[in-house]
Amino acid sequence: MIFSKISYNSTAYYSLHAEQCLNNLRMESVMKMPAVYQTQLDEICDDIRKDGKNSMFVLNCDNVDNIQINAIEKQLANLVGAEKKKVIFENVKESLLELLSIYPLFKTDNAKFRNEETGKYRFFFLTNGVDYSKLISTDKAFDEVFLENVKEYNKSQQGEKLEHTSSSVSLTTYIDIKRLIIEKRSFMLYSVYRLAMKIQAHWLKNDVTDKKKPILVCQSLNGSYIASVLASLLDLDLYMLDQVGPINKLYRAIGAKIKADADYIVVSDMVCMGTEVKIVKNIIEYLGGNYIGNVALVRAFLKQFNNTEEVMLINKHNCKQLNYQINVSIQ
Amino acid sequence: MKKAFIHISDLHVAAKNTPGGEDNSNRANKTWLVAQSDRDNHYYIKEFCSYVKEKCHEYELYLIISGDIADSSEKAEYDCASTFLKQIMSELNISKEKVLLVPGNHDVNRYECEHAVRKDNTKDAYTFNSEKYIYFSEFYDNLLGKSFLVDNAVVDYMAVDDEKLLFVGVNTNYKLGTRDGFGAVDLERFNEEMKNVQSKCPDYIKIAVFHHNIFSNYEKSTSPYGSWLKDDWLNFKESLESFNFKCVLFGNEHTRSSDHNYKMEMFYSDAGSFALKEPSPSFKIYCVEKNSTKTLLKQSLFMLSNANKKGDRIYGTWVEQNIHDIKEIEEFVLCEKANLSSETCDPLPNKANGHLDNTSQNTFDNVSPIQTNPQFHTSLLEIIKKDNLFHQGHFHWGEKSRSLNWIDTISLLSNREYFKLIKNELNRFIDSNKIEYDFVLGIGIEGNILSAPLFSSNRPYTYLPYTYRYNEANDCEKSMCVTNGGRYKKILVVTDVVHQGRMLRNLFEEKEKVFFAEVEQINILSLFYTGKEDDILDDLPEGLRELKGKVKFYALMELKVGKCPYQQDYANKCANYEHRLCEVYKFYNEK
Repeated sequence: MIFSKISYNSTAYYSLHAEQCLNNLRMESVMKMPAVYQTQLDEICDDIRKDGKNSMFVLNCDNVDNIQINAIEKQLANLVGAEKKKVIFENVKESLLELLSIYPLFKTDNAKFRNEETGKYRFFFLTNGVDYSKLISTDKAFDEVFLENVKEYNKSQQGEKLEHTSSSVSLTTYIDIKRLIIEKRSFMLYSVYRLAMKIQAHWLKNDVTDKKKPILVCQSLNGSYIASVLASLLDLDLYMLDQVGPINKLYRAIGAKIKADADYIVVSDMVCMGTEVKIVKNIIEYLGGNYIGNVALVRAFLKQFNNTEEVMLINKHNCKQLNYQINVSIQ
Repeated sequence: MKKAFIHISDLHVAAKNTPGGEDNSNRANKTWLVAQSDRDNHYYIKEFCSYVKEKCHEYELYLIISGDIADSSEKAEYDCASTFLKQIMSELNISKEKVLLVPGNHDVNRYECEHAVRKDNTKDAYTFNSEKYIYFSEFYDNLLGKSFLVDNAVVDYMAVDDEKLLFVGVNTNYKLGTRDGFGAVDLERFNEEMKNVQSKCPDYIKIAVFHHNIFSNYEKSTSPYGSWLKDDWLNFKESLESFNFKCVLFGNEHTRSSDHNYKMEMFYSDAGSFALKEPSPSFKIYCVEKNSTKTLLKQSLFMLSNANKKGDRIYGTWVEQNIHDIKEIEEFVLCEKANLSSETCDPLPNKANGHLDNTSQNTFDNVSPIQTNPQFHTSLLEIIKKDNLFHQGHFHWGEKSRSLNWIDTISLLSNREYFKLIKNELNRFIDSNKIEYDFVLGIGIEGNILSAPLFSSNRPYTYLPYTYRYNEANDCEKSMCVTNGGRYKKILVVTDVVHQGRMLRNLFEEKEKVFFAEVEQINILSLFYTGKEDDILDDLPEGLRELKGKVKFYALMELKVGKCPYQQDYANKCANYEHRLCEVYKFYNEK
């Protein structure tokens, strides 16, 4: 199954590492797999072969150090040769290109995209004649597509104001994250994967020891879905507070096994005013744990917290597109 | 005389130079057995033989070698291997008839195979069997005095008549050609050849020997089926089961291990590597024990330790390991009293050997709802006890649902190691019982946490709150977000605890009746069943019985919780509740 494919401006983007991780989600330590393997590469090549809509195909190589070479050499040659597909590697290490023996294939402006310090190519074209002026990074393409999806699942009520479930405010719109998760299953798993990569970069640098690894905390049904996938990807413990949001009623006093001095990251689907996060933060700290940050798929930019990561930020640039307004009624 | 089987694997004899004269010391330095170093090999082998002799002086010995004799399948490597294997056979008094040897992936000569493909590119590389085994065949012939049948799936078999044991060597290199790859067996040939073998030893207990590991101890493994692709292993396993194999011995991963299948009807054992320096070399010995009630193999594991330690040999010394400390299985029970008669030791009739009989198939209809894997049961109970996850008190889930105990599944699922244990068991349960589903529904936060990473990447998936908690969820959370309309016929429902099952019935018949209207089969899989054994009738808990035919119920473990003995008048009758003599936990909103 393909999870990471994004189609934007007649270009299809695939993340090799995300494919490897998400296709093996049932297994342990998928992030640490040393290579991208045959099954995933076969599927991607097959998908490119069948794709008649896009004109360029970007294979993002972030976090990929190794590839099962017998799987891809011939397939790539076939794609760019017989199939005449314009295939481009993104963020590819020179060592990987050497491994793939594809230097003879490149002819064009690849040197322009080479970072001399890292030896990485931002883009590496396998064919001539690619108009790269319109080419944007996978990250940017993903952001655009995520925003489009959020718009699609935005329950905008013309003139009507929706009462927020956990804060004394009303909203002009409600983003149905659950429906998005269920209906766009592959894309949203890829989004959670991207959130996992952000958590890794922010809190799991330099291979923190098992004892110092943070614990994820979720407080709602949607949050439990995201947190469970994150915990599997990152191999982290996961605690649930039942239940703080969206409708508050904290049940499990006897089950509140927050460990003193352990670090906790709160996982949410959507953070608006941050009320639920604050409640969870207080519970964690009251019980002796360290709250170290929170992550969400979507967050309204209100500067309530430090140490946050999210897949999408609702800010002054995009809130109008989403018709997203938070209103306070003092009556 | 009692009998013992020495199991060695992955010898990886390497030469210092390739046949073309290039330096191969990189590979050769990784093993204690190096071609052209007969003197060093002699001492390594001599030490091994002395150790085995001391351990097994009362036993008649057999030798099982599960592949990767050579590192690159070159002649020089086999010449060396032949010398020291003969030394082992001679010193331990093991005749050729008492040796069973199968090839591993490193026994396939890629160079000769590639050469053959270049000459004839009309055929798949893996079909050039004579070329693949060009030097292995010669070695096999030289060592055992018989031909290696290159096209066969069954390499050879070794019958131990006194004990009625039959060891069958299987070639799992079927799909290997010029490149390395996964294990596979030519199943058609295997089934045919096994029929023949079986006719010669009809009531023997069968043990398979092959190379490719069926599970993995390494994090980097990409498959839960070790060095097999899922379907290839499951099909082969089905075939092994159909011939009533009780045990499989293999190697390949260079890590010793042992396990058993869900019902403890088949045992698995990996001997580790005999000579590779990393990880530590190991071998196993299985001693047969037979009494009036059962036949079993008792395994012992030996590892080299103290390599390079002053005063010890450079490769160290062999040390017997404590099986319990290293989490290996002590005994492989091959046959219990009821199975000792030749009648039940005969293969089950099935499609693999040509007699199709539905009663012998491991299908839904004869799966009992609660099949606790003893090892899983023990581990989970220990966790529950150690972490104090079984609570006593008054736990109210609704006006009609009140219990005196509560299993804290939230804390259980919070711990990554516990979660992995449960996840693996769930996987194993679904695979071994062949539970089919085209849609998955996780119930409650716990059910969602359990199922999201397991199922959401490969099946349409959604999640819902427990029905008794619907009041606390907003509209979006309560929505399935999926319409069925006949698309999904077999639903897998995953939850943490089922007591009577009324909450689930309410879900199927009330809350989501439109979605479930055209569903043909609902498979409920719960981590715990907390009701009474007597309440399971027709394989269903009390509250689900009216849905017989449509609903199947399974639980990984049974753990009874006490029920509140009072009826609807509990508020006045239960002194504990009325006077709050103990804490009352309410997990729902009173109307």
